[in-house]
Amino acid sequence: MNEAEFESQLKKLKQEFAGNLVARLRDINEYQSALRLATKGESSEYLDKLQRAAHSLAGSGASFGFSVTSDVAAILDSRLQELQRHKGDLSTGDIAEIDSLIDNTVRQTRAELKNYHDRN
Amino acid sequence: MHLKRSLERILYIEDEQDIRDIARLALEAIGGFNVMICASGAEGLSNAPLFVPDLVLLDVMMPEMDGMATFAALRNIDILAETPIVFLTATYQVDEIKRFQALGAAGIIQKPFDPMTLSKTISVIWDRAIDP
Repeated sequence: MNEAEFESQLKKLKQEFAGNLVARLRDINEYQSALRLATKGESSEYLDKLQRAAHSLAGSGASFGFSVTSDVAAILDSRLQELQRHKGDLSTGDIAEIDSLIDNTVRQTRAELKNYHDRN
Repeated sequence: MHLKRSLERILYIEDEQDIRDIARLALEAIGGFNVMICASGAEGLSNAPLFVPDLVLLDVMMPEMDGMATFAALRNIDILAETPIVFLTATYQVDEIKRFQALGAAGIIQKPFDPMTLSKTISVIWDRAIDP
């Protein structure tokens, strides 16, 4: 594979990643809504789903040029992992903190995605 | 005369499609490696003895069989007992990193990785693993 072919393949993978980002954010918002409505016994299931989604975003974004996305998702992931280890019921304060971290992740990822589309 | 073995065959076990795709591109096009990709620990365990990798890249957080369990199972396959295994992880907790090192991982690569430097990073780990 020559350099031009490599660059073309890399660009295509970045486009695919960017194209899937909105759906990934939508998933995060769906888990967030489910977590708010969850009964005490159900909250760990949605906390796990949220954490996996945040972890995945944190671990992939910058590889595709979305470094801000990785950074904000890593902060969310870290806090969710702490709450998972606590294994207790989530307090109202915990939920509010998760909401705030998710809102920040979604807002900054959308901004980075807009920048990507403006450049390409 | 001591001839150093070169790194040619890499088995990468990773559950996320987008990461698999960009890693394959980076490892094949930049590193020139012969790469086999598996989407789960179980798939990796089935294919590893047939592919006989020089080095295994192993994602930590995977559903069902995670990286730690896959690591232990790979070590139980005779032909892979000494094969360097490198963890890829998005974790940033020191305790976790120490746990991987204590297991005997040849290296730990932080995710997200830079596709432009991934092959070089792996080559450095390889050199250190075969000539400590």
